[in-house]
Amino acid sequence: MDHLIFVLYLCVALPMIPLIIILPEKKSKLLIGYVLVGMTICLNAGSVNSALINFFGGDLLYVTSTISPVSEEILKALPVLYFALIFSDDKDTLLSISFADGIGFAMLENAYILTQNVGLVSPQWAITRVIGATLVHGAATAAVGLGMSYVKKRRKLFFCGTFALLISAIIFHGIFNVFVQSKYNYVAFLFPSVVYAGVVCAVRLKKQSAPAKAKSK
Amino acid sequence: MQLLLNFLMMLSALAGFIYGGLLYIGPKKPLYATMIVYGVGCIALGRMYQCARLVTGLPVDNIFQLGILGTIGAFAFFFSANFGQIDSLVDDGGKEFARYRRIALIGPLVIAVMYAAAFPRLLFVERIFDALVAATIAEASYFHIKHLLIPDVDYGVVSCLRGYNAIVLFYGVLCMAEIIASSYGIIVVQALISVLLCIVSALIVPAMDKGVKKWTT
Repeated sequence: MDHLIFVLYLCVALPMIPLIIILPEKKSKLLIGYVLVGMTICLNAGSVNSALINFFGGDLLYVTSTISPVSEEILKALPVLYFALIFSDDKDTLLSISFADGIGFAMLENAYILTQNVGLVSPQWAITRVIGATLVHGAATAAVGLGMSYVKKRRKLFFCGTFALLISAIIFHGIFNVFVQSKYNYVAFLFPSVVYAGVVCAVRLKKQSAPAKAKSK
Repeated sequence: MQLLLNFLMMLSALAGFIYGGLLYIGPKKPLYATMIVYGVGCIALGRMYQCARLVTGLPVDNIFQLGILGTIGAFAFFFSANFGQIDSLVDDGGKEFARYRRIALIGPLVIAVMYAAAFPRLLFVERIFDALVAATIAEASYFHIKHLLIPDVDYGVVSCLRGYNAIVLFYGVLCMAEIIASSYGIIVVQALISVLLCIVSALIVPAMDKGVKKWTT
């Protein structure tokens, strides 16, 4: 069933098109649209990864722990770069769409991996994949989206900054891929969860402390 | 041993990242400082990836692995911060600064010599990826040396950051020394360099913080 991922894509992604058409808000359309874009990227990444596995002599572990984080993060970053160059380089919009892009990618990837391991999956597997992979793909692409918000404002920062953020995203993704295939796969669930919880807590605390500081002034 | 050293290097960089993150990641913070904090985060991520590979029994030597990208990403951030944010404040491209621009070329030259010293002992894959590491350190070292020496007549920004620039320059030289020691297999020197890398990576953010506070008050 070589075309299984394509069938999955048709089943999971295509129902989103009527939803995008009827949604009244532009922002919601954009977010769902980028989830769909993420799934489309995942569909193509499958072919790229297969080619890479063949190139590296079928060494699946080496490719998934080292090479596929590079190819997948670059592929996911391209639609965000397109949006930043053509439509808007607003930081909040780019962060939202890049997170949606990553989550769309993770959704199709999870569904595909599920079909490849039907006999082995369990609720624990599902939680590890859903929380771990979704947060890794979402957070990694969002980090790259942050760098792209400088594409028009500060070119000098954009090139090196986005490159450096892309590298951070690749390593973050690589750490997840190393652990998820090992006996320590619970770390693959904990690692992105801790990073995500830390970022959310820090953002909330800073938002709470900002009005308090303003009042005291 | 290798796992312990990488773990210690990860911890010290992570401590610097968390300290810097609490101070400099968020809205209305100086972008220069934020980028340096991200750079230290990249060092921590790179070492974390190496730890992940070692813990799960995957090799880290004589192959391309994503841990190398940690150093590349870190120096891309350091370069971007100096080149994109600070350099135009101190150097307008005029003839009076030509002398400092020429002296700063010593940085890339020293890094190139260090790479050449390791080159004969490196495998083909290592030659390529260590060349990338050396190139990123070299371009960043140019600005670190330039900002150490250039007179800061207008804004007084660079003079506050000389301590930080000296520390990151030393960190770059240590990274190259680590490549040389590893290529010659001198374990004692490698361990000594790793300890120094731990100390220096923990000092980057406090040194930058000291400079930024001096310039903003």
